[in-house]
Amino acid sequence: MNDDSAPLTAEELRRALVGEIALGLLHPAEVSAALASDPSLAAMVARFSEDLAGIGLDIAPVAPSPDVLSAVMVAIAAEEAASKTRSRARNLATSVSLVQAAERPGAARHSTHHRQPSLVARLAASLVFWKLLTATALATASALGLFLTLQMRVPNPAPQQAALPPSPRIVLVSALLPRDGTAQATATFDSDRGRLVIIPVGLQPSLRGVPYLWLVPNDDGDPIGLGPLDPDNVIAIDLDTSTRRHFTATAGLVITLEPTVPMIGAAAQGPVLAHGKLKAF
Amino acid sequence: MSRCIQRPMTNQQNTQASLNDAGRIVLVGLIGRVAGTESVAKDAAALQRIYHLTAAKLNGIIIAVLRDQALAEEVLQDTYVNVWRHAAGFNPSVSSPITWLAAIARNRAVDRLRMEQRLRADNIDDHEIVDDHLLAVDQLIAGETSDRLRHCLSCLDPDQQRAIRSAFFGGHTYDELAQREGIALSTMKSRIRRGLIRLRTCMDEA
Repeated sequence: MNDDSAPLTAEELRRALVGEIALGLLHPAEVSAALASDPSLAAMVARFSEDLAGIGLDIAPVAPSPDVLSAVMVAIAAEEAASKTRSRARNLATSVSLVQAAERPGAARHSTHHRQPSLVARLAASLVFWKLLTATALATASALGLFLTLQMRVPNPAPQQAALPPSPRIVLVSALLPRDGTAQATATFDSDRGRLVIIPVGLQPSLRGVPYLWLVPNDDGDPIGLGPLDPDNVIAIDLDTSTRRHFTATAGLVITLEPTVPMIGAAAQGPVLAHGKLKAF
Repeated sequence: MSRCIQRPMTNQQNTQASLNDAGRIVLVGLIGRVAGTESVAKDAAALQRIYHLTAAKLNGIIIAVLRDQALAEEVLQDTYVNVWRHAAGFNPSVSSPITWLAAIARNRAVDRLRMEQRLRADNIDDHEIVDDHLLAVDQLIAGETSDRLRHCLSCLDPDQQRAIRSAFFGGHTYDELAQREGIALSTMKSRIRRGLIRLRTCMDEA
């Protein structure tokens, strides 16, 4: 017989506390307080958590869809790419600085800021994102040729726009494809952060020039230069408020191969490598 | 607290134990390759191999927590990305590889469940328990920890077992569990605490 009426000893309470934390029964504040007062609990919690995980091993296995492994591999590839980016930051900064040097306070249509992608893993790790990109790539392939005749030009600076009122979060995605339909890069725009993340997929380095990204607004406005791309690395671009306004569903993205990084006001010189339309996520 | 005595293993259990050892060695080696070293790069192919060996099992656990296939697959993906990131933290001298993986999957699933703030009306009693129907690969990777845990859980009172399983799969707090069972919060706390103490004691002695 168990004597469940007997009060628990201090050691028993400590063991129970470890189990309670491992099971997630306590409020985060209680957990923090317990671990702060007795740091040795952490290892015990980890051990109990793993022991309890055995409960799940009696659950029937369920085969996941094949997309999951693909998404995992893309996500870790993106992490590795981001890691390489960090180690090659100086090289990348050289090309980025060409854009940033051309920026001036108040520039509205060419004021983007490249960052090392702290959110790359999260974005690339989204299974929904990966599935949608696949679908988007197929849909976009039917629109080939639409942008080939566009005359692209880096616009002149315009006065700074007034701050816009808060608006609902919009996530747009696009797969950028050349004529043969093989994706060269994928793009995700998050309106909350005003950030565009480009993941090169099949983009190849070229000695003939620099891959350069442009936004083609859906109001027949001039294409907006967003910056050079690195075929080997994921790039996150923080967009200014004015540029964000042009990121709408059905707006287009285009990659050209520019002989040099275009200056403000310069037109695109090189051939179109890939293009795609943005779609709401 | 009474002691729960571990029964001697049968021949079938001994055979299973040998399979478990083989599976453990395979997984430990693969996780080590994923972790890499200062001179050896992390091995994505090893992660793929781990995935093929364990994804269905971990997916089952995650689905049991989330009850949503699409969400579960996102969490499954997140689980393996975390394995990729944290493989170096796996210590085979103190952890079983499959329970280490299962703990990551379960904890990520509970985190996601809470994030989604979904109310769970059902409990683990609805899940299919397949102790005797595991696939061959699952028999290989379901280590002795699971056998020991299964035995120790069987030593608990049915109410304690149910409460712990419900907390494990549902990510419930004490308050939620007490409400679901229609008992006082203090009663639920006492039930689970005593169950956890007996479980820990049994696991340590087994």
